[in-house]
Amino acid sequence: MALLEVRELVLHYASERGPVKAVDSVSFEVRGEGEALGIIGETGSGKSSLVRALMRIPPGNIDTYSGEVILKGKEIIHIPEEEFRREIRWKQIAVVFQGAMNGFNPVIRMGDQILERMVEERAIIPEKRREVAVELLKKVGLSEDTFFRYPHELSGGMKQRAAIAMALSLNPSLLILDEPTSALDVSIQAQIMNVLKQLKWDMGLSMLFITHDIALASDLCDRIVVMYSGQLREYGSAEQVLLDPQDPYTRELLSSIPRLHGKASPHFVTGAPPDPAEPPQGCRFHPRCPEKYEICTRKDPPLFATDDGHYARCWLKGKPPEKG
Amino acid sequence: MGEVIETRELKVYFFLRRSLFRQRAVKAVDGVSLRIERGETLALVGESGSGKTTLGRALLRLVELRDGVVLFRGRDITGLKGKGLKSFRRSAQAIFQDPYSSISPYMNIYDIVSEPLLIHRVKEKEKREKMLFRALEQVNLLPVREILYKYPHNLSGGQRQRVSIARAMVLEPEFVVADEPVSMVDASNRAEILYLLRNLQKEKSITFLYITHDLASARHFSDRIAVMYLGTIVETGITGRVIEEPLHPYTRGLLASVPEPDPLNRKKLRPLIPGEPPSASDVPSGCPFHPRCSDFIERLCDKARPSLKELSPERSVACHLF
Repeated sequence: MALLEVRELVLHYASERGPVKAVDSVSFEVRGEGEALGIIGETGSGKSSLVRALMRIPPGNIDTYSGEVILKGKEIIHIPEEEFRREIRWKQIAVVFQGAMNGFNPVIRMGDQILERMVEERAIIPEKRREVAVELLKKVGLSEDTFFRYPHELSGGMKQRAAIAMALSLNPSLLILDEPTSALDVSIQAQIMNVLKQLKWDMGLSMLFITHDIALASDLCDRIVVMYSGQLREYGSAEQVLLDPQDPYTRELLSSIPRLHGKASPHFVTGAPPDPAEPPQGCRFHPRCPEKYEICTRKDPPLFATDDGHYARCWLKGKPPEKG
Repeated sequence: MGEVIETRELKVYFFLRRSLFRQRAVKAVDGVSLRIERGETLALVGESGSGKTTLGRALLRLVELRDGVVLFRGRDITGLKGKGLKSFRRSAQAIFQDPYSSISPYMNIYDIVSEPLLIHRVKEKEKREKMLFRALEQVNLLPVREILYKYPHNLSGGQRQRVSIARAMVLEPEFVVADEPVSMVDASNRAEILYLLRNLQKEKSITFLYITHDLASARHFSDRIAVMYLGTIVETGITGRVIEEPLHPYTRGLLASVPEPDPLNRKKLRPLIPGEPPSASDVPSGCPFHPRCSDFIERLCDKARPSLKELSPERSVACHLF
């Protein structure tokens, strides 16, 4: 049984121009036992709305919020909010946001902030505070004296690690990371990625890693989901998606990245990602697709299986339906 | 060829007031000598806090210089004022990082792109419009007539950045500082903007300073690279050579930190530069990189600051190992 199973998750926002289809029927699973699943998408692909939908923190203007999210065999989207708060959020699923490092209270010592949730949950006895906090800090590669520091005494990279330590405090089974390193320099980014790898290997922590950077995702993720305009476009193992991409968008995205080594020059995709309030008719990528044909402008393709556990949303990969 | 822009021992310090009488210098740029030839792109790479943006601003005379000189076409522009400075600024332009804040949301594209023409007194409306149309065509904002009366909020991030490129290009500058021009643009649109800059440069033989933290894009869109660390240049050379055969330990570490899409990455730890970049207000003694360096030599690196030595034509390194 998968650790997390997401089935046809929908999150549409209400707007004057009609529903904004931020997450439009997305299904995937995180297998557990230290699996990291990467969700890759550009601006407006719906990747951050997906996090909000999973954590049940959507904004106020919901139009539709439906589907099923099954954690360890238990549906968690339709249970009462109180139950979700008490049993799931932070305890089972924890999240680290991009700006988490800026979320610390400047006048409280780091140690007290990292333990805040444990204290709130009465999951810690006062005598053990120091020991538990140091243990958490060690997991993310921070020294013991960080316990007594104030946020302004730490660098951005250290604060982001402290935010990860804080998310681990209640021993969640799934850690969601929403662009955890995009505000940081490459050398600091590499340090944090190594910390995440260690957590995955040593503790068997499963992760959902959300990013716009497909190269960064390859540093951690065993399987990869590519999102575009609220939909899942391609889904498969890191090897399948990175070495043998089946969807034209994934191919274009991969070839648009400048490579540090090797001969290929980056190639670019014309046009911009679509406005999620008015996605194009038919396949949502067709206006930018170099391989489109007639049906792509009319009908949105379903996900086609192209290989064992590898799916792509492209008519080239399946038989178009009969007319009529 | 001839240099379009050159600096000698350039220094830019900022002062932080610690108390009423004490102040502390932040040495953002601390003795930089570099030159960029006509029609060449120099990529200035480094992490945040390395001083790369300040150096770019110093070349445009946008910050006060502490010491050193900036030469533009062989002429010292360090002391330029009034009319002389204005005429220099007509030939030297900037493209900034954030296309959401670098163009006014209250102005339409017509006004944004023609503003520099008004400032530099291109009086005839016909001539202005001709230049405006040409600039927008050059950046592929087509059809121009449809774009002209739109406002920035009607455009995507990539389109906005092209507006700010058009604004920089409308005066047909000789020298352009592009400060992280694509870091706020979506991955699938980045290469498009970089190719656009590359083509404009080739056509008009513009001299470019491309400031970036993205080494992979520097590899494809620059002729030479200068690596900056805490206010000084630690390595320069022909782009391909520096990437394939980095010499300075910092350059080596920086290159090893860059992930490339490869499913094998996840199976191993990435080699790291230990520690955090120290602040420019508290630069370590000797070589500024020594506390993080894997090749640290005691009583040398922490004492003497290495100068930028030319190892071969077009290749210089500031490190005691060489």
